[in-house]
Amino acid sequence: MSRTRFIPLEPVKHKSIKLKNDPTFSHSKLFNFVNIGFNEIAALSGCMPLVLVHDEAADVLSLTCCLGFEGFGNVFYHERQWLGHAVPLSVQCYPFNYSIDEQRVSVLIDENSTRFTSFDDVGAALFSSDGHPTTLLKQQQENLATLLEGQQQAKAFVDILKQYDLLAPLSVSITRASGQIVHSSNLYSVNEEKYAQLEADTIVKLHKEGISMAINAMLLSLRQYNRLVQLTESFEDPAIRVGIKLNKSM
Amino acid sequence: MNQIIIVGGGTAGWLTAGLLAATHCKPDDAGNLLSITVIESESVHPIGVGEGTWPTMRQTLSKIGISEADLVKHASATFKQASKFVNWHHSGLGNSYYHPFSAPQGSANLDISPYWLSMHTEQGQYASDVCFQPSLCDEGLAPKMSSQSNQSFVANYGYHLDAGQFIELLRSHCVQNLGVNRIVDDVTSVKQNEMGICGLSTRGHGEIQADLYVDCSGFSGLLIDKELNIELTDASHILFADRALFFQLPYKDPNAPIACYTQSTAQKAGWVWDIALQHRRGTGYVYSSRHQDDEAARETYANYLKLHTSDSIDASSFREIRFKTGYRKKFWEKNCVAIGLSSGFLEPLEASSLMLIEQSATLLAEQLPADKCVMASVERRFNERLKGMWESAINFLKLHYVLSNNDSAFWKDNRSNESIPFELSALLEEWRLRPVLESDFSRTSDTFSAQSYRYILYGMLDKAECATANSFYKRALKHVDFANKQMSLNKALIKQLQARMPSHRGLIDSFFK
Repeated sequence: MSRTRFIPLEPVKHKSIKLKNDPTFSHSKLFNFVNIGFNEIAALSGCMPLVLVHDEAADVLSLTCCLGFEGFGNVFYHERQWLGHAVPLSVQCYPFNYSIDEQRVSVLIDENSTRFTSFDDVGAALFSSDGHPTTLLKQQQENLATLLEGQQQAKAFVDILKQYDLLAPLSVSITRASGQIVHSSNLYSVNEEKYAQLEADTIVKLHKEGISMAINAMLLSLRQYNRLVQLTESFEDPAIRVGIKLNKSM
Repeated sequence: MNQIIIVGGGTAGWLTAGLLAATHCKPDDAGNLLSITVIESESVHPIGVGEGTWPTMRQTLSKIGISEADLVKHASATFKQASKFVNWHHSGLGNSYYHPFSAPQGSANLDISPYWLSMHTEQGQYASDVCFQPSLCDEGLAPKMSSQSNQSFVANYGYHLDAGQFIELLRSHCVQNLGVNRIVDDVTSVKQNEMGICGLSTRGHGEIQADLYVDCSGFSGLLIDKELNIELTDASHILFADRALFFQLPYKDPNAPIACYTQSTAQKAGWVWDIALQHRRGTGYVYSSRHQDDEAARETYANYLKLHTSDSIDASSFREIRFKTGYRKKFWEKNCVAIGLSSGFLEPLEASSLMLIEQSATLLAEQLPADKCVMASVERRFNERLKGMWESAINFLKLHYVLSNNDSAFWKDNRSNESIPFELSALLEEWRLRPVLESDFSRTSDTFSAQSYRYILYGMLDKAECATANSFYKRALKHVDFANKQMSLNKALIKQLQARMPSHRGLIDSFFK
């Protein structure tokens, strides 16, 4: 697989490129975690675990969904189809992405993606012959706008969790058939006990803002770790057990 | 009634043939099929400037069996969503407005225009406030997602098409798929008896006869005028234009954006039409020779064209037609029916010509008498209906002129009381005091609806006039919340469509994949 290289999409330069469909989202084959938007929590929480990942280098806490484990890659990936009923928006958006430069949002494309082709008979055009975005590109632009909005809201959501001191370290370990145990680190979820002890006014406020729904969905989504374990069945040395522990003493 | 002969193979002739053949396509109890023959001359060429249609053309073509894809591929068709009127006001008041094909938001439940009138001081333009379509037109966006999109959003639309190619498409479809006979010949003389026409002599095919003759011979009116001497009701004292210059303008860039509306730009003594097809634009200047001499008219027209091309314009290359606005005193006489230019002429404002052909041919196909013994009553009904349609169309076209504030002689004369039909001037008086109501147009022959009148009237009135027009009617406004909601929905819809719809050329591209 060639390296991802996002460059700005330009109507003149990219006038003739076409996009091939990929229902398997094969670019995500090796992904374990994917950043998600606040507006995706409801849709994804019934399909995959939603957790917060701490990037130590940048000291950033991000809202993500877990697609697999180290050594397995993305367990929803299959050569014929995606093995879940929900697909994270950023995975759907590929090979498009966005950048924000001085308040201006630009559409980027991965110029090394094999999804782009210049053959006429394969794929769908991004621009019509007059240089205007096609419905396909407009749909992508809409998806990117939703993604951007959702990710900005996700940041605010994480800030609220920090503000009310609701974060709890999450320890996840899976046991493979061979007996090997793999730990995931730097994960966080919500401290249920602290959440339950919030002032009534705060609970009402969080409820009205949709934060409570998101917190509940995140907590319930941890049960989807069992689905991930099931999805490793076809792998060599599959996972047979998962252990989840939320450290509530923090 | 077994045999019909159509004289003339222009748009009128072949559309009529197609509608007749598609409507009466099965044999009767005795096994007789309706035989339809079109006689077209090789030496007479169709005028071919009728290039804008109403949305009704979609049903007409579907009835005949011609697909939209064929129209786009073989008649250079594009999508028309509106008429745009530019400079119909001399200055100041907002120099362009749209008459879109789509209805205002909420029309199925309530006409929101009185509410718009009452809040007018804070609003923008009528058409844009109540309908999403002007915004699609401004942005060059298509009325639908793709050639295949039957389920998703579709705005109301008609077509722009290449008249010459359209005739060829109709002709080959009628002959190959609908069993219409085609004779290429000239009619040299016409025989008559007390029943009407009883035979046509042709140069190469001897004498041919039919039970019913349809005159689609264009301006010459071979049967209805030259033979049956049915005179024209002159309407040139209402609509003054009597000449048209026309010219085809190629795109500089073959992939240039395509406008999805007919643009009508007012000039000193008339107006210029501008219709965008796939590979060229069709333009023409309709003017009154009483108000501008031919040389000056050519200059006016050339000046318009110069704004749109860097190529040099040779005014001597403009084609010209001369006409008199009016319609036959009878469209159906004995066993002869006139359809198309033989039945009368209206300037091409609001694409009325093709619409009147469609309406006439559809009515003929529907009402086709089973036997000659009932012909007289069908004739009476047809004539009444068509007369009503022409009068209605003339009133509506006149409306565009009377609201202008342009002070050149042509426009001033257009506002003189004696040039305005009584029915229209009475309505205009009423509309100064109350909104346009559905019940103002209750006859089946009223081809233009209250909705169309509103788009023109409120498109051209200034704010103060709009406010006055509603003060009495305010007492009847009970659904303010509903109306406000429709206007907000309109704004939301516009935003959504801008984010989703392909460009007009993008839609055309999708037919050629």
